[in-house]
Amino acid sequence: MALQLRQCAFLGKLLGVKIVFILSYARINSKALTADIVYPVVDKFIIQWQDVKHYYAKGIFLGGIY
Amino acid sequence: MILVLLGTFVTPFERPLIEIEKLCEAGTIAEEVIVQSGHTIMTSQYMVMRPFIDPKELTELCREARIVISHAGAASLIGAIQLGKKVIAIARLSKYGEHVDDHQLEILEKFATLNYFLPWRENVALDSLLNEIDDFTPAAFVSNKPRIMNYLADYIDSL
Repeated sequence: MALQLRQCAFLGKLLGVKIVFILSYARINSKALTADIVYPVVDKFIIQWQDVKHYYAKGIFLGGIY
Repeated sequence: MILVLLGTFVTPFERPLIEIEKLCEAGTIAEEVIVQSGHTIMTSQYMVMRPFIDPKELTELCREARIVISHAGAASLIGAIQLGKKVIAIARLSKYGEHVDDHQLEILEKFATLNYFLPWRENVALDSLLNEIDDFTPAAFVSNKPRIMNYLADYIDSL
């Protein structure tokens, strides 16, 4: 599953597809495996809590999606 | 009526039900208890077990409920908080096999500080929370949806 996700993200990248990743609202102060896998290739990495910026430096904090 | 939300995650979450059942048995809880039980299988003399409830009906039940007791899953919690309900929230914990990790603890503590609900932490008795909740007024949920939506719309337009 994780491998497929990575392949999909990299393939998309090669084709010039933009990738926006939104980290789960449930991640308030912890890392997520899915996020770690796609982090290097995504164009925008959006975080919903300020604290996770520690783990994901390029995270764009926009507050909660709800 | 007390509505209990256990979510739809694939592992069982029995701890809250065991405590609620005890209080029903003791007569402390005398009102109807409806449980959205998901993948938790438990037979009860007192609680109505409904594994999955469609969203529309669930919202109605939530509206009718006097108290909502919920796992600390974001969607379940926010649904109830947005309706202004008095919520008692309990985290699914990985050490009991209730979830894959302890992210629900993060939500529990964050939302507790925002005064959205009463947290039901380990070694706290449910009956004391049920007493406390009568005088508890939850903070109104502040939605931030437009900000993130506008950002995405602007980004897409810029491509």
